Amino acid sequence: MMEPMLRVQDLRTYFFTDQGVVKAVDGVSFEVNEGETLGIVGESGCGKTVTSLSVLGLLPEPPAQIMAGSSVKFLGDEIIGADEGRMRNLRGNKISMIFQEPMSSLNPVYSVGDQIAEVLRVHRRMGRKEARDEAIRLLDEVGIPAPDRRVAEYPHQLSGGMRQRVMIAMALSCEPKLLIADEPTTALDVTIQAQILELLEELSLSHGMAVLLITHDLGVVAEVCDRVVVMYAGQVIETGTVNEIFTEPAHPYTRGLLASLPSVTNSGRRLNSISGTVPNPVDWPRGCRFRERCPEAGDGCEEEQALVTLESAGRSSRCCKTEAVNLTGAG
Amino acid sequence: MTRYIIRRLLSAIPLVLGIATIVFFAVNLAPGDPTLYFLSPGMTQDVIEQMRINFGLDQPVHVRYLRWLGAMLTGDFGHSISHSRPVLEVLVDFLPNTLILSACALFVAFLFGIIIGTIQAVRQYSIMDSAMSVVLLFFYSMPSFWLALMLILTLSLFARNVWDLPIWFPASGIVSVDYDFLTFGEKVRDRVMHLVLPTLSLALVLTAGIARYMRGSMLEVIRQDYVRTAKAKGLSEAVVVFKHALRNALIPVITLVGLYIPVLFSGTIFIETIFAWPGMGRTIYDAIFIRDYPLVMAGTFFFASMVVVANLIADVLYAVIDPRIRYE
Repeated sequence: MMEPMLRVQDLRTYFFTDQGVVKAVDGVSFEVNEGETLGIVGESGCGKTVTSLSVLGLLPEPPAQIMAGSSVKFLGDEIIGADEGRMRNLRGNKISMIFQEPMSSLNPVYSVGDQIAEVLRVHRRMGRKEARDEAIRLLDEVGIPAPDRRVAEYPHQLSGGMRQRVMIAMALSCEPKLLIADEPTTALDVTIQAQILELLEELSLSHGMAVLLITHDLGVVAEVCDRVVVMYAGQVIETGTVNEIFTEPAHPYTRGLLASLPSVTNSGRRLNSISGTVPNPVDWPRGCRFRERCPEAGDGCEEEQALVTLESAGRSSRCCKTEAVNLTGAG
Repeated sequence: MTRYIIRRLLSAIPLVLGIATIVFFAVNLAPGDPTLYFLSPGMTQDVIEQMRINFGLDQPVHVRYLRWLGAMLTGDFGHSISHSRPVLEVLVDFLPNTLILSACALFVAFLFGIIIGTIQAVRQYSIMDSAMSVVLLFFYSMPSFWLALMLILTLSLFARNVWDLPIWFPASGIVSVDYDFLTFGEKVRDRVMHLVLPTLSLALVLTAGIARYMRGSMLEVIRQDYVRTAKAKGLSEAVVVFKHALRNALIPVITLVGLYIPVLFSGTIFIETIFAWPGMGRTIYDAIFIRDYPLVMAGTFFFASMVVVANLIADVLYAVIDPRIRYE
């Protein structure tokens, strides 16, 4: 089997606070292969953003700390604990990131052209003029009209969708192998959302770039992802292809999420909801972390649950009832 | 940008006229009479009356106001009673000294305040942060005239006579007695050496305030999303802090330029007295007690105008730093 481009293994990122140790990410493993789009889904507070920031080493330490034993390998090289110089060479160059809030992710006092050119000058050692021309070309590539005029404008002169396009242009500037997109469409309205997703899909294809898409929106996942990692309470609870996750969800939590989506076939009926809230990350419940909210909880759920591989290598679930449920689910 | 500056300049005109009016009435409504300065035994009431007529003090207040305003607009600030020469000449002699001192103090205060505040914010809760906080709080709490005396005691007197340091700073005046016999290079050095202690006395208190403010502003900015974006672009910490964060953090701090100018000018009154610095602060102080109306009014008017100018500069700096203001 080919070595995955990004292999995250047993990643544990804890925050040491006055209230106790917040185990935001508690033993997460997944892989991103060359050119694929992997979605990480989960509700707010499940640790998906912390996971992505840990990969690039962007969390402030302290209070955050990536615990010993965690491993993130990019193209075979361990990058947890790598020195700042090496990390800087990866960031914005080999691995780029775009964020949830395009309104606040761009620096308000520099023109968008300067902000894009900066990446080119640092990583590709371009001169002032060359970097500016390349910035204009990138703005054009991400579908910004009149890029030669927009290049001199400031973030406050652009709409949210435009700003996210600028962020994407910036992220693309050094032809990264991997783009981490942390809820890139959450802050945008629906039509703009679709445009941005389409753009991301198009660019990942044309640049052969893998995308790690973090979202809480299953609709987005269905639209653009190849494979899915479902997170809950700082852990991966299910993995599989988009098709597998949507047609045969193995974990009760995933089923709960899917049941809470509106669809054509259940229109007119009340949407399902998962009762309760995500438990406190300072003190995760013992055994299965979803137990208290799980409609199927019963014997065996007090035990710590392992991520069990199902029918194929990329298919796993962290539920002791997976197989039993699968049998009834198939009927 | 140019239009923005012109608009600000125009809006300053009524402000300055308003200041002139308030200054005039404040001084004239204050008790006391300038003729008392010339009073001597055996002087008859007639002489005093004649003197009042010569000074124009027999006229009603509104007539005097209009005359004064009219003359001032043509650049005539009248005749100083105590200095026995035109007010303008007195100003030309003393005002530059105060401006140099204030400008140096302001520059030093902002330079160090910004640097210290930034370092503190970037290394929040470190030992360095706490140590700097304690030192700054000390300077912030101490009155500047006391600081001035302590600086003289240590950096001038002890440095020269007790510790035998190779360098010590003069404690009074703006130049040494042998100034006229020095070469150009030595003259520059002499002036700079004389500036050090008065500048420090004024600047230390301001530095503490600015650093405190800067720390807070910087702490807020380094938690912003765009700072994380800058890091995610692979920029070094120095570029992230001093390019991306600093410029944003400076925006609220610029307000202090305008706010600290009056503090600085009132500070110069003490400092100029302590360091025998021939500046406007001391001159006005003396003029007030002699009831030298023309000089007090002109001096106060210039100080007040400087405050307006400082705020104007702050407004322009806002626009230079923040494009969102520029395009409004």
